[in-house]
Amino acid sequence: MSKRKFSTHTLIDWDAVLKQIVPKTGDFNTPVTVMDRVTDNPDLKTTYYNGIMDTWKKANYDFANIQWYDYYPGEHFDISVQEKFAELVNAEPRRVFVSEVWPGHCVPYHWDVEDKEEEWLANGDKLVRWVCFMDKAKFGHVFILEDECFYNIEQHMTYEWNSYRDYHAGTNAGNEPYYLFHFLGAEK
Amino acid sequence: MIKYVGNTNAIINWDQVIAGLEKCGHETHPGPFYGPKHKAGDPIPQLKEVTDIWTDAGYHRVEDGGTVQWDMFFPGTHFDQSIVDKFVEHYNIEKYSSVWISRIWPGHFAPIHWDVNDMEEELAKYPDRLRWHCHIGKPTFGHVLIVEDQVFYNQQQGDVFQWDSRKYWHAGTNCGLTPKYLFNIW
Repeated sequence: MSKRKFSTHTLIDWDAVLKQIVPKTGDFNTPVTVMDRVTDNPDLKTTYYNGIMDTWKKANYDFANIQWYDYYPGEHFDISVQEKFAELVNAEPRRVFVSEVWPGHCVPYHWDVEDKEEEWLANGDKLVRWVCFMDKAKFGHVFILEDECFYNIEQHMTYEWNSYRDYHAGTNAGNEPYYLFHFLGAEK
Repeated sequence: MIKYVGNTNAIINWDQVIAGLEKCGHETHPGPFYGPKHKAGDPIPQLKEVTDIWTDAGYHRVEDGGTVQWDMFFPGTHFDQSIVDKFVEHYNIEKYSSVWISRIWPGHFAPIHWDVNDMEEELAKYPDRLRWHCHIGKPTFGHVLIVEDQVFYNQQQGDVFQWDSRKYWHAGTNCGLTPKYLFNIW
């Protein structure tokens, strides 16, 4: 369930950010690439990632079709957006990215395992997570957060998650790519 | 417009219906039919409206390595006709052309479409034909139905909605962990 919400209307020009993102050029993710990337942190692999992958396997997901792209500030789009957003939610950025899900694909039921979570918590971070509907509402673009389903959400609407570990999913049954801005930060 | 018209749990045991459908394809029980029934290029009026969108958006059927597929169960073959009889009596539905239960497995899609029918030319004579859908499974994470600009999520088992037109654009998808069932009639 989400907590606070606000609109970034007149505060962030998301259409300009979307113009900077070149489709299908971000970090490509599938269950295989995700698991490959955590080889330097085997504890996380055995404790958390395997659990999520097992639920997907049991549900008979075709792993080849679980795929999405991630885009990072400073690499794929201007970092000033991250700074502006951090100011708006009064938090220090920890992991910020834009997700891109193409029609016919979904990122199923999961929570976001963070490689540096223990380090952040040990440093006293109070982690908060926000999602922003950075694109205009389009048919088939669905985001689910615990028991809440977000559909036809006005561009700019921004929601705080109840917990950064909330289970969520994104799916696209429409005909255009689906973009969301995600912000994980430490409360100031 | 789509409006809520009531709940059918008092007249139909949907858990029992689903339990019956889960047996389909096993032992002597006939298996479901698979959608989509039509493909691009089939000579059906207005089908191109849908298939062009799917082609341009890059959708592929499961058999071609994609995610487009759903199961269809029909009365008399996969579940008892009495279920339909109770439903139409309860909602005073005098005439209907098509009735089925759809099932979407996790990771599969019935992407943006309206239900183009083999008899579309004949059906054009009845432009005001209504449609109803019923959420026959319990509310479950990831089970999504979209009709026009509305999403149906976490609806109570047995909830029924009436569509003003059978030709509304809609989509079904499942990013959860269990199959999603929906009763459809128009």
